[in-house]
Amino acid sequence: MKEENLLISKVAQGDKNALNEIYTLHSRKVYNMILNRFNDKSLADDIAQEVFITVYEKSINFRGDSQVSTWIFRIAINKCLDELKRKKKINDHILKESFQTIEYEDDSKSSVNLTTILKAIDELKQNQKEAFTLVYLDKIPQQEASEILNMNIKAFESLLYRARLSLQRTLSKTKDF
Amino acid sequence: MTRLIDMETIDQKIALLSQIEEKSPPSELYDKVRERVIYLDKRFLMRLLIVISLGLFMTILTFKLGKTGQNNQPLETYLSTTYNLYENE
Repeated sequence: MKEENLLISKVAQGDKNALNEIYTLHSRKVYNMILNRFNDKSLADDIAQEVFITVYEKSINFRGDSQVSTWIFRIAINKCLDELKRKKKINDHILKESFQTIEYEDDSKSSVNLTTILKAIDELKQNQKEAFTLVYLDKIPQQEASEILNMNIKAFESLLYRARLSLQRTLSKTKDF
Repeated sequence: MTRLIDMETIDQKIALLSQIEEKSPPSELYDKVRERVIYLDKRFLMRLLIVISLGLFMTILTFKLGKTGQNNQPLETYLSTTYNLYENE
């Protein structure tokens, strides 16, 4: 973690090799976070570029209050929200488009279930969806996810619990289950 | 009224999300980032150069105008003689 802070301070001094190291460490996660929200590879390319450009530009403002990864993921989430606002599709989350291209295990039953779950996630409220996506799709630990969303851990856990309850209600109405 | 599925089943279903495969970013993505970073650096340097040049020009002008004031020479006269503003008249 200290090493990453050192890398960020080097990036702030314009060191391109340090930027390359930061990119190597976090690009895969950032790219998949964006894909989980948009499922559009070319858009994911553009937003991922924007994320690392912002990392380069804002690295001088990084105070080290949080982990470097948390800071970068927060930038990525904000870029995704900006894109959603830009498209004015906040209520029409793109997750539902991702069902066809996501690779499932070779089991038609579980494929149907997965599609149904993703549709149910898509019907969650925006803040619940964001919390749920961070933990279960992006696979970010709850503590870090709460920091990314600027929430205390208790409030985040409560939000996640409400998301699971909403999911339970939605899935209970579904015939596939 | 719909009967709610128990939470254990829901958790099992949520676990299915781990089947979603992570994808790697395209290999040329970093090159694009690097190009844009270099462009930003160049743009910053150009702006810095323009600001420094303008600052230098204004300093020289102020210094010269200061000298003009000492000679009690009006600004218009100074500029017209120094820079030959009324050449064609």
